[in-house]
Amino acid sequence: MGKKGNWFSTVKKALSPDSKKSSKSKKKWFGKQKLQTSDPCLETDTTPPLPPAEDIKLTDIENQNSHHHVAEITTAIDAEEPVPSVQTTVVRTEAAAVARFAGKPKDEVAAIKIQTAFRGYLARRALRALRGLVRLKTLMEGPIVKRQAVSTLRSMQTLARVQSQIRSRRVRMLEENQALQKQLLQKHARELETMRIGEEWDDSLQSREQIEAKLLSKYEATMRRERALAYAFTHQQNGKNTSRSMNPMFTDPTNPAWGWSWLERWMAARPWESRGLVDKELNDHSSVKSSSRSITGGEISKSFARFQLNSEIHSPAASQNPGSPSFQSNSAPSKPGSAAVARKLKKASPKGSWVMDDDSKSMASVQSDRFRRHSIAGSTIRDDESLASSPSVPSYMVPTQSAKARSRTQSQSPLAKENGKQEKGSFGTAKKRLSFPASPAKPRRHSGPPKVEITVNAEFTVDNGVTS
Amino acid sequence: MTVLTVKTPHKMQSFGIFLREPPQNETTVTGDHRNTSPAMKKTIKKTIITDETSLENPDLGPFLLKMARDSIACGSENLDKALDYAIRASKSFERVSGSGVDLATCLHVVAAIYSSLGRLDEAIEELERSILMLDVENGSGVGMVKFCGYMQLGDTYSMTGMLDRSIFCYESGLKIQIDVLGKSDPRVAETCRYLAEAHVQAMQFDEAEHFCKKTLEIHREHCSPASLAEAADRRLMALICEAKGDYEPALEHLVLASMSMIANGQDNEIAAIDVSIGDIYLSLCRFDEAVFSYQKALTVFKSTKGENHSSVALVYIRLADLYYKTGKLRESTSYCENALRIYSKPVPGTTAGEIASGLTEISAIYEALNEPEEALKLLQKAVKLLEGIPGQYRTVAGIEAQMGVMFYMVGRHVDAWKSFDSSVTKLRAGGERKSAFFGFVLNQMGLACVQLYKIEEAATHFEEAREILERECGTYHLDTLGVYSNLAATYDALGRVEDAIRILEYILKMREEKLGTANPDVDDEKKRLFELLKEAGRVRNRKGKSLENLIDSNSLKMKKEGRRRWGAFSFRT
Repeated sequence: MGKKGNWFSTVKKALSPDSKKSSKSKKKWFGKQKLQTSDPCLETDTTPPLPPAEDIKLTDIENQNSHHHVAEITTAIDAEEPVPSVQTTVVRTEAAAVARFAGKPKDEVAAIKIQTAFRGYLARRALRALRGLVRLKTLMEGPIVKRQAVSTLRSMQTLARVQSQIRSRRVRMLEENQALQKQLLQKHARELETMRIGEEWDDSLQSREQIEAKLLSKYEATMRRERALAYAFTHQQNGKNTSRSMNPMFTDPTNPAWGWSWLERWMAARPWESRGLVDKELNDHSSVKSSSRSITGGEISKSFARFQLNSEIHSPAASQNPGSPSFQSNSAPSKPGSAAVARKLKKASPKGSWVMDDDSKSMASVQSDRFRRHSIAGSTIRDDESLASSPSVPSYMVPTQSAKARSRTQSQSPLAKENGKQEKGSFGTAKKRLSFPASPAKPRRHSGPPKVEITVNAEFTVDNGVTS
Repeated sequence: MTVLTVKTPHKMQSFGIFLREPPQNETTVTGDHRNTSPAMKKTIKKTIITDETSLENPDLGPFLLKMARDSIACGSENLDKALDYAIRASKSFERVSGSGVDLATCLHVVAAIYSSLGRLDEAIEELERSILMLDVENGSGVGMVKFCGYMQLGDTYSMTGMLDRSIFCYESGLKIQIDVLGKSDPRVAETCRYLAEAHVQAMQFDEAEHFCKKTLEIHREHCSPASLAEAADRRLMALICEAKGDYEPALEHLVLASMSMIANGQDNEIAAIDVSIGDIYLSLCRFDEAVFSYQKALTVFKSTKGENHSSVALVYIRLADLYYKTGKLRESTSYCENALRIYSKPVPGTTAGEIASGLTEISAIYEALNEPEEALKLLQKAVKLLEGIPGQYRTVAGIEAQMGVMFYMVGRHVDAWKSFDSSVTKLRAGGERKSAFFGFVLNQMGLACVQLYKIEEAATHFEEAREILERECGTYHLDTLGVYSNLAATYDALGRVEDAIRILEYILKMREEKLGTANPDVDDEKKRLFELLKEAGRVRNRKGKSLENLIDSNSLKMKKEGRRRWGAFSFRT
């Protein structure tokens, strides 16, 4: 009996916190257990822990509830297949129970026994789980888990550090490779340009007429021009190096496996950061970079090549002028050679890219085309603007007068020839000056369009300013 | 914990506020970039000339491709135009020459433009197409192009955070390159180094070391001693050694790299190596030498890059770490503040990634200084900086996992669970399945679940973590045993006592047979097992038995019982 009392108190202990905690811990069998034992559970809770009274009550309930309830419980027990330990309890308690249930029908006694056994089983299981939960909690509070948390944090910090170091390695490598790539591209474009001029290819007259004619025919003209350019392009390619296929164009000639891949990597890896880094690289490629924002990059390098070529060709003409010993520092307003240079410039500049430019800017009006056609004023303004963002001035500064002045003075410095970047700076002014003589033919025409052009340029420079 | 936050210096909070606003440059960059592109798109549509027949002109493809490249060179404003050109070029190539090297190269260009526009899925599609269409047997040129395709695909995958796939692509590329160029070409070395870096990023240091060694060997063959290429290799090798905890070889590699940099007169590089050398000294607890290295680097960086450059901030962080380790807490905090000041007003050219990684490192120091709230703020800031930037998923996942652990330590379990959940989702999306790192995160997430009474969920996390760690670290590793112990306790709480007993028995067996019982955890584990056994065996064995007897005599019986109990419990699951 003593054992039995102890047993019931454990049941109570197990069940009472159980009803509170089960909702919290959300464990399945708690709910199930509550369902199955709901009636007897209430009984055990409400009745005093005196075994005889409880037994009587229980038997009353059994009588009222008919056999259905018993059947239910037995099926439940069948389903659960109680473990041997439970069965042994039943056997053990039997001795005491038999004495108590002397006057009762056999099936009732059996039902009670089964029920008690089952309840005991459930209670013990719940208790065990609860104890497990408590143990889990103590483990969680313990030093082992704390240590785990710390080591996890450390390992993740290491990971972050290692990854950031690798990333910075990559960035550094990309910077180097990009600089290399730029040089190669430039060199390549220069070579190309010399080829082109040597060939004296000229289809510009015809296409110019077509553009002037009508807006409708413009696309057609573009296509034709494109085709023609493509033809010329392949011809140059073939003329220059027949053995090489198209692709080396996109790869670094010295290292065909890696060149394009690196450029791509640069692009792929940092599309969002490229602007930020551009400023870092301004050291030697800056003028190319900054001016290429307003003109296509190919063109700037081409025109750079052209400039070099022209300066070679026309430096004798320039030196005729006593006031200007060198081409760069030539301050004379006009000279005999300059018109020819300007003409040459116009001829050589690939119209295709210009027109595409126009289209994309949705400024494709006849007027602006005409404007562009008649002078390179637009491009000179652009160059002027981009000059402001040349190395002497940080490109994020909106060009100011002083900046312009500074760049101008810089371009006139005698050191210009030696220093690569200053040479490039002077290139813009030189070009501007050269283009001047070409425009006087129609001075009125400028007044309208250049304004538009300037606003576009302003946009570009503002863009530069914000982004860098 | 709250007391500690009150203790936070007032100054620091102002920095926190400062940092809460993202640096102006960065946001405007992205904002501007995004704004321009739709407008561009509109105008681009006009220029697309859909005259299909014209595409058959054999000259057009190369020309269009050239135009595309020119547009790319112009900067990111013209990317849409470049894309238009490149797509047209690819169509033209397809019509004229069918699938071949030309088309493949053109598709690479298209993919490159897609990925710079952030459309990575399309980029992957194009690259896969270009790779599939090429047959390597046709000649070395084809091999090269295919190799390029693989490398680019690898890069693109790593942008999406799928490091496994990207490494697989690099390896395929390397195989092709070796087939074409032979084993000891310097270009193969480049690829090996690249692959090694990728392995380091994936925390697979053994593979990384293997490839890095290969690179070094090839460079030794081809380059003069003390070449720049070798220096780069050695620096990578040092990084790998450091990550593996082999500090002496790391130091040796760094010193050699530094010597070749000195020979080539690269001041900035020497300073960068000095920082790494300082790190190693710090790990070796040679603090004076570490300070010397850091100060040397700091002087160089300050003079060449300016006082407010991010590399100066990086050295400040290292110094802060050093002073924390030597117990000079005031110096440590002041260096942290200096670094934060630099990061709050980044000089142009500083990237979001740099700032974020700097903030993450500072947060580690604050955490060590027992200021987890401040550390959490910094981490949140870092996550915000990296949000929406492709290619940073893993970094963000790592930072979120750190945040999760800190939340857990502070006691904010719901936040911890959320952070872990987001981190794990990201890592899973990136194909992360099998790094020990992921196992740790899962284990920690399980712990957070236990704190939230999500016992079932905790069990699944522990089970997954166990699986990963068993594979990655082996079954005797202490971390694996830690996960076992957590899992045992969880099973115990779930009522699966027999499983819990079996696991605990395994842990103790491992400890007794292989690892030794000197570990302080052993006592605790013994106690837990004893309790469990007592409970399970109480009915049958009333006599007090020694632990060993219990283990020996009961294990068989309990297994039998366990099996039956299993039957009883099976309907629940």
